[in-house]
Amino acid sequence: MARLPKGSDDGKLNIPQGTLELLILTIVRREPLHGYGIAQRLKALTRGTFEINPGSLFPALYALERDGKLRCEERLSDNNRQARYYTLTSVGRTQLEREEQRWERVTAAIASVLQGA
Amino acid sequence: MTLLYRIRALVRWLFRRDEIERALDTDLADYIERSAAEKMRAGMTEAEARRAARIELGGVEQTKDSVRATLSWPAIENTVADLGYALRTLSRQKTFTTVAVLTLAVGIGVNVAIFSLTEQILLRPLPVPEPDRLVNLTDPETGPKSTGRMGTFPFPRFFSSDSGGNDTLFSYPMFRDLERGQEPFVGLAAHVFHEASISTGEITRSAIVAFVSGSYFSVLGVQPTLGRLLSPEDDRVDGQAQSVVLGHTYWQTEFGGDPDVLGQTLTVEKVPLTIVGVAPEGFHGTSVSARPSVFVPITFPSNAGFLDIPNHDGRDFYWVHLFARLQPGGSREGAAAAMNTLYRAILNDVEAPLLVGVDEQQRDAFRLRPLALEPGARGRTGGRILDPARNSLELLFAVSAVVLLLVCANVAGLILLRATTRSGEIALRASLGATRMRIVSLQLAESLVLALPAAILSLPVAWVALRGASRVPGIAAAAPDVSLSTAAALVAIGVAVVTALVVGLLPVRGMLRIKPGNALQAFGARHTTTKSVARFRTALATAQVALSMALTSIRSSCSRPAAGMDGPSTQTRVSCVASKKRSRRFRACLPWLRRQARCSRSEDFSATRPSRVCQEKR
Repeated sequence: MARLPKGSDDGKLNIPQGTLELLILTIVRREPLHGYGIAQRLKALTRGTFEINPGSLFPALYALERDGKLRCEERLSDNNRQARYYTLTSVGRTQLEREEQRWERVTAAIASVLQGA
Repeated sequence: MTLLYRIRALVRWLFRRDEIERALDTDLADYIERSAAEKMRAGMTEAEARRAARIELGGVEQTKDSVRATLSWPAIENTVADLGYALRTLSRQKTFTTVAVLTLAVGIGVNVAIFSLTEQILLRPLPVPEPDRLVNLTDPETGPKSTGRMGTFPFPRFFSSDSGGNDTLFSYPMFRDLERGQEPFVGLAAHVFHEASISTGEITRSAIVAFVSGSYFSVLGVQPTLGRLLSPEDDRVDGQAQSVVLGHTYWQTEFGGDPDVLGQTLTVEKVPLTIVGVAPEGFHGTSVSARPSVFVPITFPSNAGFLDIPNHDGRDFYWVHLFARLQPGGSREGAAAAMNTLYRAILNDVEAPLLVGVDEQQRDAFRLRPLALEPGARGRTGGRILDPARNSLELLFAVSAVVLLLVCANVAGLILLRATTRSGEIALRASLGATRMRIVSLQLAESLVLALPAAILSLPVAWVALRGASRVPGIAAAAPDVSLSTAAALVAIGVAVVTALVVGLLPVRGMLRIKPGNALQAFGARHTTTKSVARFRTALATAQVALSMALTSIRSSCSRPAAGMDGPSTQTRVSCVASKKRSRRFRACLPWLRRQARCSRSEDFSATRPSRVCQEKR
């Protein structure tokens, strides 16, 4: 799928493999959002730890739309330009719930390994 | 679920690409605007902000490209691209394309024609309602095999030669006995076809007459075009016949489709009969290779002029074919079990006591003869009746297969020749990173582009071939009016695609052997034929010559007897030709061939006069 952004020295991290989908779906769950908005929300939520560049964001968005997990509607934005807002579909919601559970199990497993070591 | 989305997305990607491109434009422009606006709020000038936003995007085209890569289905895209490329190159090389397409069209056309014939002669069910419920009654123990084995067995006597299978004959009394206990069936019918002289008053000519039981038409479930069909009322008394039903074609040709024909008199072998009706159009009786002109009751007088039939008394004279219609929902197995009980009872109680001059073992074997039910949807197709057509069809099949092989070899040779002049191009592709798969798929796309117009052109070729084939003895009798069908067109496309694959893949091996380095070095020097490619080409040429020889020998063996149908069957002669080389095997089958040659005189239906029935098989 999408290329992952390169990590750099200013406190940013690579987005772990396979989690970009989970992150995007979580962000658009609250409200329909455009591409730039999704990138900014991700940056804000992680306080700048995860930053996604458009070269990775858009392929991921289009793949999710292709697979029916996101739906798109065109709206006029505040300054009268067309913008595409991404919304979660029911397929996407099911997928998100599954991914969340999986992620919780993964983190719990890793945490228990770290604590036990 | 996801697959469904994927397919929908692919269709959208392939056919509504501009929509996706527009969406991408909107998305990226919006991204830049918002990013720039953010940067301006942070204090940049508009120009600086826009520039920074673009840099952040990492290149509009690159981003678009990675989105496109996500959405596309490379295999399909490549195929479409390959087809387009093949179309362009081939349209530039007109001579090559024309020759290849025409050659393929001939090969495919011939095969389509043969398929049409086969479909119509061997595969198509009778034009009656629910043909699947029809079954042919057979007794696997009767027939020449069993007479040979039973040696001194006093019966059966056969009306004519018979090769078993669903062509089994029964005696007339047996038919009537079975008819009385036919619970598993809606009805049981008997029929036999024979040549007879028919007189309409002034003109007397020879035609095929169907002797049918009164149940014949009702078991089939056909409706008359005019008047009525024969009914059980018509075959009440053995040795008497009053009515006759005309075949639709006969009615058209002899009476011009005159509706006043009802009530007129038609004389069959000096027996005057009243025309009571006309059979439906498209119904040509229940035998694949003989089309009766008229249908008369099976109770037709036995002394009317035929040597042996009809014979209404002899339990030892087997001359009628039986078929039946299963009860709705009834199974063939269930009906067979019930009929076997009946059949064995008749054999035991009625016929076994009549046996003379047989030992106990033979008598026991006789009592246990089984009755089998075979699918009868296509009428009588087995045994002697279809052999003339089947032999010819088998021969034609062989010929058409050889023609197709020849065509494949020819076109593959052409493509190979072209491939050697193209080795530079292929080498260049390979050195630029084209995988083997890509080179193969390009080659296949090219042969597919050749094969599809060939498939279309093959239909007129098939039509012409069909005209020719319908003159082949045997086939002419079986299906004088064969035509191309939709199925034939589909087969044309199928054959074309398979041919394309074969033709395309033959030269591929040589192409893949091309070493980019060597080939590129010799790019200027043209014709860099590697040894293996050359060897392959020689092999192809040899195969071509061999196949042509085979074809010529088949042709010459066909054309010799074409003048008269009385000679040995064509198939016999072909097997002679084919096995001449292996003289030992040839000599081994000589006695058989001789036997065949002698018997085949009577194998052709139209030539079967009882007086000339092969003595050996009596």
